[in-house]
Amino acid sequence: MKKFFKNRCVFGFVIVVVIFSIIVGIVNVKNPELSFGENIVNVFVKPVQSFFTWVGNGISDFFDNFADKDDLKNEIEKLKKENADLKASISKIELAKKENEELRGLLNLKEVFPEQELKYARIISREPSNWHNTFTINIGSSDGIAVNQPVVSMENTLIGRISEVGTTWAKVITVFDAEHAVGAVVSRSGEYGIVEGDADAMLSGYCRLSYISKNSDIIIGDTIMTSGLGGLFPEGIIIGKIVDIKADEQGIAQTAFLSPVADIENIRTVCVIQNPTK
Amino acid sequence: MRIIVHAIFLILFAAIQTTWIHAIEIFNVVPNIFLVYIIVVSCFCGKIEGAVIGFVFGLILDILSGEVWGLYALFGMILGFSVANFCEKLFGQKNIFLTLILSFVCTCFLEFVYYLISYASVENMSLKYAFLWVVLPESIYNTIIAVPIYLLFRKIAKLIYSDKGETLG
Repeated sequence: MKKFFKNRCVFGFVIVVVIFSIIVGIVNVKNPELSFGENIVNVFVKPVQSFFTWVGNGISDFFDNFADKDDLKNEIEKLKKENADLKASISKIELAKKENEELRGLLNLKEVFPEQELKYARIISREPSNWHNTFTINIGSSDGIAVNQPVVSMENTLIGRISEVGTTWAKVITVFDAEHAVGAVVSRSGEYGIVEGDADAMLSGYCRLSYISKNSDIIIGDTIMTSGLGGLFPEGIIIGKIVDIKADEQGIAQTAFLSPVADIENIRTVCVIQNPTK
Repeated sequence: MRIIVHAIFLILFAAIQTTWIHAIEIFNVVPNIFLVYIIVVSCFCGKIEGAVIGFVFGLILDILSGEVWGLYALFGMILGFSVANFCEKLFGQKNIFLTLILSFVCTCFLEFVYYLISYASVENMSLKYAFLWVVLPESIYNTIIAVPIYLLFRKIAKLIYSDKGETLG
C-alpha cells in the first residue's frame, strides 16, 4: 500500500479517474439548460453538421430519385397500358354503338318495307375519276344483288341504283350521276316529274327534277319522293328538297333542282331493296 | 426490280385512288394520282417503259372506273411514250419544274379529250362547266400532288435505274 502511494503516477491517474467520474455523474444529471461549454461547441459544430446533413440528404435524395424514377416509369407504363386498354374498349363500344344504330336503322327500314327483302351493305370504294358519281358495295350476285335494284340509306332516303354486279361486289350509280333517272312526286302537291342526274348540277351537289308543268305550284323547300311509277323503285322513298326552280326556255314546263337528303358523299352503309315491286 | 416497284405503286395507288383520296376532295374534285405517276415515271424511264406503264396504269384506272373501257389505257400509253420522248429529246435530263409543267399540261389535255370523247356526247355536260369545275381544278391538284410523287420516285429511280447510268435531276 505504501508502495502504491509512493508511485505518484498511478496515484495521479486514480485521482483523475475519480474526478472525471464525478464530473460525468454531475453532467448526466438531467439539466434542461445547455451548459456554456455545450453552447460554444454547438455554435461551431452545428453549421458543419448542417452542411454534412445537407450533403448526405442530397446524396440520399439523388439515389432515391433513381429509385423514384424507376417507380414513376413503371407507373407511367402501367397508366399508358391502362389508357390504351380503355381507348380500345371505347373504340369497341363506339363500333358496337354504330352497328347498333345501323341495325336499328335496318329494323326501321324493315317497318317501312315489310314485304321487301333488304340487304345491308358497306361502301368499299368510290369512283376514282371526277366524271361520274358511283361507288362500290361489298355484296354482289352471291347475295342476290342484281342490276337496277334500288339503293337507299338507313333513313329511307334514295341513294341510287345498282348499275353493275360482280360476285362479291356491286357498283351503285348515285342520284347525282347523269345516267340516273327515277320517277318522282312532289309530296305536298302530288305532282309527278322525273328526277335525273345532271352533269352540271352534280358538281354543285344537286340533281334535276324535270317535266314539271309550268302551272305547277312547286316551291323551294318542297320534299320530293319516289312515285313508284316505272316499277324500279318503290314509292315513298325521300329523294331531296327543292332548292331552285327555273322555267324552261320554251315556257311549257319548269325545271327544279333538288338537294338530296342523304349525305351521299360521306355515307358508309346502305341498304339494297331486292324485290322493290313486291 | 422495276416491275416489283411499279406493281407496288399500282396496288397502292389503286387502293388510295378509290378510298382515301376522297378525304382530300376539294369542290368534288380529286387528284388523279395514276396520271401523275405515269408522267413522273416517264420522265425517268425510256419510251417503251413509259408506254407500258401508261397502258397498265390506264387499264387499271379503266377497270376501277368502269365507264369507258380502254380510254384511259390508250391515253396512258400515249402519255407515257410522249412524256418519255419529250424528256429524252428536248431536255436530256429531268427536273421537278419540267415534271410539274408536264403534269399540268398533260392532265389538262387528257381530261379535256376524255370529256370530248366520252362525256360530251353521252352526258351533255357543258364545256364551260367541264373545264372550270373538272379539268382545271384536277390539273392544278395533279400538279400539287406531283411534287411529293416526284421527290419520292426520284429517290427510288436512283436505285432502280442506276444500272442504266441515267442522269437524274
